[in-house]
Amino acid sequence: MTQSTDINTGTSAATKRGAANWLARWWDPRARSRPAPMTTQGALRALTATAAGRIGITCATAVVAVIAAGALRHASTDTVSITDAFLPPSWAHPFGTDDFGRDELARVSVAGRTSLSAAVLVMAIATAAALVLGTSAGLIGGVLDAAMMRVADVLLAIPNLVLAMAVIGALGPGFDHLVIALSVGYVASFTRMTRAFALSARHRADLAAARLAGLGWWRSVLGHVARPVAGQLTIISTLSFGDVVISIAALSFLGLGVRPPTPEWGAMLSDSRGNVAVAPWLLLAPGLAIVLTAIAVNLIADALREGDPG
Amino acid sequence: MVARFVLRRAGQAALTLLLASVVVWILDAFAPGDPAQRVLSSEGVRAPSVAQLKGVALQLGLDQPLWARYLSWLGHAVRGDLGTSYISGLPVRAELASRLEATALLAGSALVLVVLIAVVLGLAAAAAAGRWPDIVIRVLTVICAATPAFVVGLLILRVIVVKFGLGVVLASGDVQDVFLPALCVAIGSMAVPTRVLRAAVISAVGESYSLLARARGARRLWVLVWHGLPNAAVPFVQALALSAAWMIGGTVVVETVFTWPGVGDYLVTSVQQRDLPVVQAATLLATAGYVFSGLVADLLTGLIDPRTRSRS
Repeated sequence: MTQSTDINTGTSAATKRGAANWLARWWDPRARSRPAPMTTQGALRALTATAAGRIGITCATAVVAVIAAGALRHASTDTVSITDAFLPPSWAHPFGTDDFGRDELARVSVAGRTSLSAAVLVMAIATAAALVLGTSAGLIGGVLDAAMMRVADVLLAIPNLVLAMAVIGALGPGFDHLVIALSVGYVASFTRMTRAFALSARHRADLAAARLAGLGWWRSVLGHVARPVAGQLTIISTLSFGDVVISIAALSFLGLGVRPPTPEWGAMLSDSRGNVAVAPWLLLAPGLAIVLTAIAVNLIADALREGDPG
Repeated sequence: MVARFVLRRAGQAALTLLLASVVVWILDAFAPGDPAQRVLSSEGVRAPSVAQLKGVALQLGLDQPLWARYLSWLGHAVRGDLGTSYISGLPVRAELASRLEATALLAGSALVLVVLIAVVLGLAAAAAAGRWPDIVIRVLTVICAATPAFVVGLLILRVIVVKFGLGVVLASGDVQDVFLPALCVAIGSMAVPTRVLRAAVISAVGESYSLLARARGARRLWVLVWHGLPNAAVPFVQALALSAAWMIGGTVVVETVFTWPGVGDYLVTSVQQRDLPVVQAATLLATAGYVFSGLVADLLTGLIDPRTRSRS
């Protein structure tokens, strides 16, 4: 037996969950017509069915291809060779070379991994924190709820990029501090949304039915509040992902994000400023990378949201 | 009735600003490192003695409990004393005041441009809903939403300023130089207002009063402008208020690109130097700008649509 079995009744947890769903449908006729949560297949269909989704996937593929191509190259991002400085794009260096003779394609690729991993970390932290905070605020209510919502309101009253700058001003620049600084604002906005979902879930019949069917408090909350909320949050976080990528690039461009030796798209753009008259390709490669990534993420998020049945 | 609505909404804004000042102050109070040491190093003391550190700590009131330190800071801030910069040793208020005008000019011009662009593009897209101009405008908004202000700024500097010799690389902060930086901010912030206006105009044109106007023989364009625009005003104003956060962020970045002598440029330099009194003051100023734009948007909404006055 792989499934956990209740000692008292001998029924497995899966049977109980099935019973809870059946009870919920019997109790609340609206639940019968409630659309099923989005599946992986449904998401794929939503992406390939619309023009926006298809263009988004194309842009995403282009960015991934550039990152992969750069990763497969033998050129090191740190090899400095002054004789190769400012070479225009060629077969040997498809995106040209920079002021130190470093291969621009390899640098754009490493920079992309930095930018994207920072953005994914911000979203992961914000989603996880919001899931815990928002669900507890919505379900526990009372003073805790009121206090948390006031804090969230105040954080949302500070423009996100400025809030991130204030946090970096206190902590100092660097990859970790950049991720923390950007997470703060998104935790606040995601927590508000999670709380709204949790509040509506609190009075739903399937939660009551799960409790009636004998499921423990933790299990019913996890299965009937946290799980559906997590699905919604994933879609919302993809909607914000493009803004996060742009904010990371902006902060690094201003010298407040990732520190110089580590390549990052915004930091590379900032470096290229002095050399733009000699080597305009140094502006184009990282600039296009940021724009293509943001277009890809925004279009994919749009397509997912339109295809979401809930 | 109206006065009560205005007062209540203004009170909410003031309370939000007060609580935001707590958040901003806490960031400084819990920043790693010793404030006394920071002050001393700004005065040129490299290796301070314990007695010197204690003296400055007493002078700064670091021996007081947190709440007392916050209240004294707030008391000074309300009276216009925003502290002195760790780096320059000059009062923060004078520096901010001298830069505020340039920032207000840039942000105001950007807002005017956003409204102009969004109204023209939004109306055009709604008029041609589903046909090619609509699709072109949608593609344009997608690209603009994805292009950060500093990329647009660098492109403008490269193409328009350096190649064609129009505009200046080092901006003076005056009216004649404001167009290009304001355009950069506007391009990054126009996507959401444009789409909201398009959707609102389309839904208003589908209402029965628009159908009646058409049945009475009104021209399509007249219905679009006369019935569509006023009914789109409320969602449009709210979309502008939401975009204000993005516009403030864009202003900060664009000021650095164009070396525009404003508050954003000052904020970025002081964050780089970890000049915390300046960071606090500039952050509060940006927050005040955002809260104020929300307040103005709500008052405008109440003015346009009296039904919304009783709510919120």
